[in-house]
Amino acid sequence: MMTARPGQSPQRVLIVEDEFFIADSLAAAFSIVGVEVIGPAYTIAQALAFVKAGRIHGAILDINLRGEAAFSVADALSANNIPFLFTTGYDVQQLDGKYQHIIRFEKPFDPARVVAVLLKDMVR
Amino acid sequence: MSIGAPPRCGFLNGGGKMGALMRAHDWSTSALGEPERWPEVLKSAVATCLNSRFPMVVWWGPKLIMLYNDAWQPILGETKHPGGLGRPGADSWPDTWPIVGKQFENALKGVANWSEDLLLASDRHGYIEECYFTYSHSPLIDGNGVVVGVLTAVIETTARVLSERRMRALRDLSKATIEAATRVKSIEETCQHLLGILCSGNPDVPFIVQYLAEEGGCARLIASSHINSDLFPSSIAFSDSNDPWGLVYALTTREPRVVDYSEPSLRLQGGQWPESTTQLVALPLIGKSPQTDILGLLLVGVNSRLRLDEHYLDFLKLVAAELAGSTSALQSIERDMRSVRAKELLVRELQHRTRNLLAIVQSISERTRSTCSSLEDYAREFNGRLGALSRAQGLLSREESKSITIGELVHIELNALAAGDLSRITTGGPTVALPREAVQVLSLALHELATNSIKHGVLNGTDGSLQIHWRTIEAGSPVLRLEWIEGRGTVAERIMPKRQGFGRVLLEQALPNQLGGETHFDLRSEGLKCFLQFPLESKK
Repeated sequence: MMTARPGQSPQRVLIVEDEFFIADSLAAAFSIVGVEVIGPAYTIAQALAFVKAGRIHGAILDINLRGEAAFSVADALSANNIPFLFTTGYDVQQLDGKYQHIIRFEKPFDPARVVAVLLKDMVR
Repeated sequence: MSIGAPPRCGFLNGGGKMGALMRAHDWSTSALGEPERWPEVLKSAVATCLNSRFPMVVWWGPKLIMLYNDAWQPILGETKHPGGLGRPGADSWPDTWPIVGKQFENALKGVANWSEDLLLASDRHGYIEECYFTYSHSPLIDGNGVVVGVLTAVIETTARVLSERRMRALRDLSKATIEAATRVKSIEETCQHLLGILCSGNPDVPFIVQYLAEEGGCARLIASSHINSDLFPSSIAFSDSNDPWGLVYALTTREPRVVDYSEPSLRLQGGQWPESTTQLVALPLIGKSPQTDILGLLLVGVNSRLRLDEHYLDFLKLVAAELAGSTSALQSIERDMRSVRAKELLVRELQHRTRNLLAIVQSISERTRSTCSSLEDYAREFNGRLGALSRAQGLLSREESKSITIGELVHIELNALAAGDLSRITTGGPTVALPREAVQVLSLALHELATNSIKHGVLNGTDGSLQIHWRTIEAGSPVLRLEWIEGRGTVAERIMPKRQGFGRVLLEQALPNQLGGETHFDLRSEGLKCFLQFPLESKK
């Protein structure tokens, strides 16, 4: 499993998730591997503010935040070349063509596995 | 009354009304002269013609002077008979001469002609009329083999041509309706398409407009073809008193209404014909069962070259029945699709919530495991939390209109534990409906507080008390404030967990984060004092 290398500033990951406990599990899984967690952002506005503030190396993005599609956040992350993954409670989600290649984790998922997959994207 | 034939005019005897007319006719001014001096071939031809029951005409000489029988007379109508008798054909038939003149020329050269269901529009009753004929022009040849005229046998086929044309229009409409039902389009689009098919190349529907009845006693113009729909009201109320087009009449009486139109400033186009449309029919669209509400209505222009007789009106009623059927089917398809879509949406939403809930259960399990020292502890605490989560779900499965109040939630959580002595607990506060997204996390929070009071706090001893009070405060928008105050108990030894426990995480992080609220803890020797507050209006 990837971990932060000594002598480097720690990697920072944004969690966008409107359920506290799910975000909490993800945060715990990231802290085990020494990755700093930004957020969690519970709303689209919060998430966009975090992206704008910068210094983010990766993100976990719940597609549906309180009934709103979070694609504006995905757009902002893409524009800043920040790798990210989707999490979703829907099994067949029709995604925009441009996000078809983004890996999706269906809930419930294993937080450790989500962390591992994102870290692989981040070192690329 | 019968007038005997003059001498040597026996060929005019009999022959019905036309025979009588010819016998009484003053031939002295005619180019033919007196009948007794007519050439023998003309006499024989006229005798054959008069005594035939098939519509026939003898056109004599290069001027094609017209002599005809009773059966042919109705084809002339009122405007050409009897004035046309004994006169050149071109005088009587100026409208059709461009077509038939050429055919006569050929016949006079000895070439017979055959025309089937030929449209010969002519003025027979005071207007240019659409008429169809099947006929043959044969050269009339004398004993020397010289062509001396033309003999025509003709039958009018207008009724059959119109009937076949209307059957075809109805069949095409019906076919288009079936095809349209397989395509997913709006009612407006489909009706527009069907009206276009109905009007296209159909002189009996020079233009058409369709209205759809809507709730609240009105009808809305939804489709039109071959006319500028701005000429007609875009919507009408059943109660409108101004009804120039007969629309309200047709809607309220469910009977067709014929309207004459003669506005000189604005002519209504006549479809294929250059003449304007001067008559319209408003027809109700009624569903199959007579009890059904009226579906809407049609406003159809009448063919300017035909009378609106009973056959024509029957055709328009069949068109209305066909379009009523398709409109009703389209409405029912649209209703079904809406309900299917709603169901799909519901299933998706349920799926989303269930999966989220499972993910939450998974997280709670992990949190619980990380702070428990034994499997027994884990099982007890996890099951307790699962219970609170499940009670919250039970409340949330209520229909949206029924609110969930804070008082209800507090009592459900206290009763669920049922371990403590409830008489030592006082609760109170106004009835406050909770935002739905607050119910789950708040139910878990109350569960943690209550569990804590039983396990470590005042309810564990014999003389403690617990007060739970809430109220709303206005801070721009309403905020709920809940106070959990343990008091005067012989507090047993309190063991503070080494790692931050689930309860603390929930109260100090989940609640503020998820509800945008605040939590204050004050753990004193006499018990716990905890304040929760969060806005009652959801912050999206």
